[in-house]
Amino acid sequence: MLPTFVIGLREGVEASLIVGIVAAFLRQEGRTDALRRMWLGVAAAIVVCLGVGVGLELLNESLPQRQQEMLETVVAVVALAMITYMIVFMRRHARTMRRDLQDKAGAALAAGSATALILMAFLAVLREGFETAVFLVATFSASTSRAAAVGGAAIGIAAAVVIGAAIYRGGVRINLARFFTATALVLVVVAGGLAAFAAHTAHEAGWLNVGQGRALDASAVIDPGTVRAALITGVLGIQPKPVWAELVAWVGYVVPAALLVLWPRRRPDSAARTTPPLVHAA
Amino acid sequence: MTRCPHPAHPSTARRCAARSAALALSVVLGAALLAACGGDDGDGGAGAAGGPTTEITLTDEGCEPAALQMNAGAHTFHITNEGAAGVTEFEILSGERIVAEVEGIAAGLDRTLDVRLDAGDYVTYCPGGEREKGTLTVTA
Repeated sequence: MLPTFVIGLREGVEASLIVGIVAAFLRQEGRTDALRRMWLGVAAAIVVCLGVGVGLELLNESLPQRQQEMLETVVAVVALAMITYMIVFMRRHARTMRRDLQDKAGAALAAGSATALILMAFLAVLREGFETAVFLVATFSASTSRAAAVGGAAIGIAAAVVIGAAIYRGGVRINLARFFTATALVLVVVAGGLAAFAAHTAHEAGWLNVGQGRALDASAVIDPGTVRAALITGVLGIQPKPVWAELVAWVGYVVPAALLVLWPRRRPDSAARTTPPLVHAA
Repeated sequence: MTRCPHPAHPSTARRCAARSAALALSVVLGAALLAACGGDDGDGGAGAAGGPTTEITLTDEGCEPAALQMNAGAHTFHITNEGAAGVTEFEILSGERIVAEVEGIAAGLDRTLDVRLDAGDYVTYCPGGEREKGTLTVTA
């Protein structure tokens, strides 16, 4: 039961993390209409993936692994670009967002990027969904203790959904504009995970064949087959024994992005400081 | 195809353009995937059905048997995980390039992999095992 639980958890978390973050963002902006569309998109992605999984099984075809890895790489890169845009946009408008929440910039963020966020959630589920669907179908034809295998996988995915829900609730509670730095740093880490993940799937897609030497052996911490490893790999995108390409991708994104977030903005704002702050609903 | 509304603000137009591009991209991706599903994998990797079946077992050591020899042509690998906790994948490598792979084979599950192999020296790779890598020699 544990082996299939671990895989279900890891694959599920990789998707529910993004969905939870997107849902929290949309909720914070008061875009409940967009939130509803996001859930529809997520449901559609799940249906598509299950359909493909069952269809492949019925046709007795195997999943075209390389093409699937290509799709996962492209989707990961698109999600990475979207999150980077979110971080940059937040940074540029953080001051404005803090001072007046009804500001045009805040409204523009809500209107303009809602569809982009919905797309990101849809693609995140699609990305992990194919692999997970095929894996689920395989558990149904398990050679030993089928009930335990299926049950484990289902509980793993359910646990991932719970984690996504917790991220959503937590993200909604926190005033994203006030705690801009913390929020942005979390996004930086998630995006770094996507970068490492994209490097990994790019190799499996046959696109990236350099830098595949073992960079470090983290299997003491990220012990393959354990729940801890599933969470670390699912959330941070780090493999148990990452190769150089993955490590360079992670560090190469996180370091500049974190610096960008933490770098103090040098614009002198003495006039604003002497003016009493606008009274607005907190 | 959705049309971008008359831009009230340059950044709105930019965002709308980005949105349309993203939508177009996903449509293209979907089409590409469907096409790939139906089509033949041109470089002679995974997808070729038939051929003799080789039994592979995933253990804590890695892929068993550690050394394989076979003739060039279509092969079917039947991979079974009989209880290895950290080993759930089977890959065939040619240098750094992945020729074929199967993922998600948890303990108690089994999967098949159809590959067409040309003559050469390959490596079988099961990440997470003690030994991890084995040899696969394909003769013409």
